[in-house]
Amino acid sequence: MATKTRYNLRELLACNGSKMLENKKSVFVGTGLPMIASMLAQKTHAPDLFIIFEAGGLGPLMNELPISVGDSRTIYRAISASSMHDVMSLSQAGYADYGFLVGAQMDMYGNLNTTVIGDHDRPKVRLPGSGGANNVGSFSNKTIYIIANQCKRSFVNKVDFLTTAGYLDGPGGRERAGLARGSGPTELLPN
Amino acid sequence: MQILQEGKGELIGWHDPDEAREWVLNNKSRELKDKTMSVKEAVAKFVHDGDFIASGGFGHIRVSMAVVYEIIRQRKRNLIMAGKTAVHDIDILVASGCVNRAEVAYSFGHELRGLSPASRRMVESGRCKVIAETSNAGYQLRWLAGMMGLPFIPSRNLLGTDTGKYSSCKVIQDPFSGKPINLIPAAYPDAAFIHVHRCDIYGNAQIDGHLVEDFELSRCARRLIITTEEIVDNEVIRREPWKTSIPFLVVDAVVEIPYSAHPSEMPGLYWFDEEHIAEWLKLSRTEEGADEYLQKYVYSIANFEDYLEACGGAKKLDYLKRRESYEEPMKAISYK
Repeated sequence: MATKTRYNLRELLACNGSKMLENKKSVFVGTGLPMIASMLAQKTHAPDLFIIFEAGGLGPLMNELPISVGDSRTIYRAISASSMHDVMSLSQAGYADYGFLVGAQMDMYGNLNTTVIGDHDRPKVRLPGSGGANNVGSFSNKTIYIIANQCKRSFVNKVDFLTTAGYLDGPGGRERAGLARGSGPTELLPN
Repeated sequence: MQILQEGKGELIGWHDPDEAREWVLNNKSRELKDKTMSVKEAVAKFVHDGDFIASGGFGHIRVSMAVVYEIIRQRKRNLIMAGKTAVHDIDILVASGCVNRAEVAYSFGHELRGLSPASRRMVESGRCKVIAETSNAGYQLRWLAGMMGLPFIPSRNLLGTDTGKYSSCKVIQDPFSGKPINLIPAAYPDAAFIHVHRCDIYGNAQIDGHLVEDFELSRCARRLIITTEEIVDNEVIRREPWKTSIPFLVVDAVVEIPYSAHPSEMPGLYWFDEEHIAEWLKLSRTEEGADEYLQKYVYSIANFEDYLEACGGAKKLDYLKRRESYEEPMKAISYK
């Protein structure tokens, strides 16, 4: 029987991301690698990981990897197939221990950009926008980031557009802006 | 009360709460009447050039694609679309020239499949304007404020970010806590379209699975078109009234079209048609390809039933049903 000893960087990232998640805690999951990492966590060291999806999936038992954070796989044997209102409200009220996001561009205070590269009104590249990311970053207690491409372009002094709040302009930045006290990014997994 | 920051995004779809109430009193009926009609009639009657439109579901999940195609077929113009969690719906509406403005939470991307070449091209060339930014919760809260008949609803959403700066929200100092808080303005889309699992002829609808934002969106839209997998008797609703997701009061049209969500997923019924979405994503990398797709699947087709035939008919639909219920394995596919 052949033993698989080779792995690629995405698999490594997913494994490391998975290890960040504690059993019996909740994680508000964004699209991409966070879904894989959360599913892996639930299937290994954190079987009671409570996974939250923005479209309304609360506490699914992950079976098949979702294509989308809003598809039917996010409500598979869930505690509740609810609504975005429920998910966002619970998170804003403090029920999301972790948030888990992928970012295209990040600055030194952990602010993320997923909106535009270049000027907002005539962008060089138009990215999809916040989606639920701004909410995950605003409402979760501790946010974990995965930056898939570690290069100069991904890590900048100041993001072209501040889509999702890290610590904004520095220590205390979140509280000054009105975001939840003590919340913010705590882990970054580069590759 | 001091306004700490005003978002510079354009405010669309807002109405004064008294104006909104009067509109409801004058235009929405409390009478149980048969609202069934064809999708052609529903779109002709309730979607007009220049309207602010919103699609239910989640961009490529439980989207009323039959209405999307009909909007394109009827060549509606200058629409402003709510890029709420918009994925496939906004991509083809922008590519077809129907939508030329969007308030964006998530748009021009196909989630894990990659960025959407057609609508991105329209934005980067200036033919589609992003008039404001927001987030998913931002949109859901706009619908909530509209649903409640309020001018705004407060939230801790978007604070401190450029997303907030480019939104149409206003930050004030909360008079209770003294901390900054964001005011999210109400939205009343001129026309919304939502696909549901079952509905009676009056508009009482049941959705199986997660509602996404449809509870709120259905209740703030000025005109609401429901497409349904099946029409059921009113008795089905009355027998288990806790299952009603959308009451007839807010509904203007009921259209029975099985598989109306294709190629988006219909939770519990049929999976995404990844092959079809891949065909669109590959073709739409050029303008000629996008036109070719629209000609093939929209302009040269008279109705949704013919469209389903063109997409593979009963054999394809059967496969999608089995894929949804895990009876078929996942298949890797290329979108490039």
